[in-house]
Amino acid sequence: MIKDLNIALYVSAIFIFIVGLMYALFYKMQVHKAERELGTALPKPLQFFLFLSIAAPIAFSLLVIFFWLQEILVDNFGATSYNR
Amino acid sequence: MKENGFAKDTKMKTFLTNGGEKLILVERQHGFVLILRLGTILLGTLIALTLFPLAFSYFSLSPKLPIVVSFIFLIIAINLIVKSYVDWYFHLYIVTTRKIMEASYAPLFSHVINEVLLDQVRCTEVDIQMEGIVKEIIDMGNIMVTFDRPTHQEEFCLINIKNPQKIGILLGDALDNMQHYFTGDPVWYRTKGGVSRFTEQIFPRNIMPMGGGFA
Repeated sequence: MIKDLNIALYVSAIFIFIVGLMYALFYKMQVHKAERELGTALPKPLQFFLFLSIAAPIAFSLLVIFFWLQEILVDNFGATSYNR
Repeated sequence: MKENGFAKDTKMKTFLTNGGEKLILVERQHGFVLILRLGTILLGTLIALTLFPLAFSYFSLSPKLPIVVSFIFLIIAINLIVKSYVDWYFHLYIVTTRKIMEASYAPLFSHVINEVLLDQVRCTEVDIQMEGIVKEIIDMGNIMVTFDRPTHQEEFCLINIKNPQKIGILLGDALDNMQHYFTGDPVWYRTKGGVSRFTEQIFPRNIMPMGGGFA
């Protein structure tokens, strides 16, 4: 069951990375368009959160990749510090 | 933002489409509306982040799973926070010397602009409404501007505005000043069939026509 869960985890990570990143990028484009139309710029905190919404899916994918690499290392080299 | 009834922020020139048009007022909803939404999102996220790891530990699943699921909740929360903030920031009430307008941009979701041309209607009432102890304390309320336009909704509402009394008085004075330049009837007239020609193209035929026209 753990192995199935891991597969589901990696597949969902890919899905979330693609969907989350695409949504964030399209959203940012539309926000810039709205800024031009209204003639007003977003405040700095909001710009930071907008950047965070793009960075978060990328960070999430890196986390899952880290877990995946950890699994590979354990499988291939049998690290004793990790209890399954 | 406002000085002697005219907005200092001239970046809103996009909405000044007519010659000689001046910006009077640009307002967003009260910050409390945004704080309420953000608070709800943060509370929901906190509950989810607390409950799910407990559930996972109860079922003794992989320890990576709660970390990953928590991260997913954080991503969703960040996107909801950004959306709420942007929707609030791009929801504007704009009053110029020629029109009164509500612009609501929700990027990727919706784009709504409601506009009333002030030289086509007469303003009959400006009502200010503040109900509830919370709204009284934080000085938040609604302003209802009633026009004499029987072919469409009669009220233009500015919802959850800060300083509604001050803005309502400013709006009333500004609209009153504009009425002095209003000459004649709006551009719609009664036909022999009893339907106004201007609105017939846009609205259903059974709408009451405006008086003072010619067939």
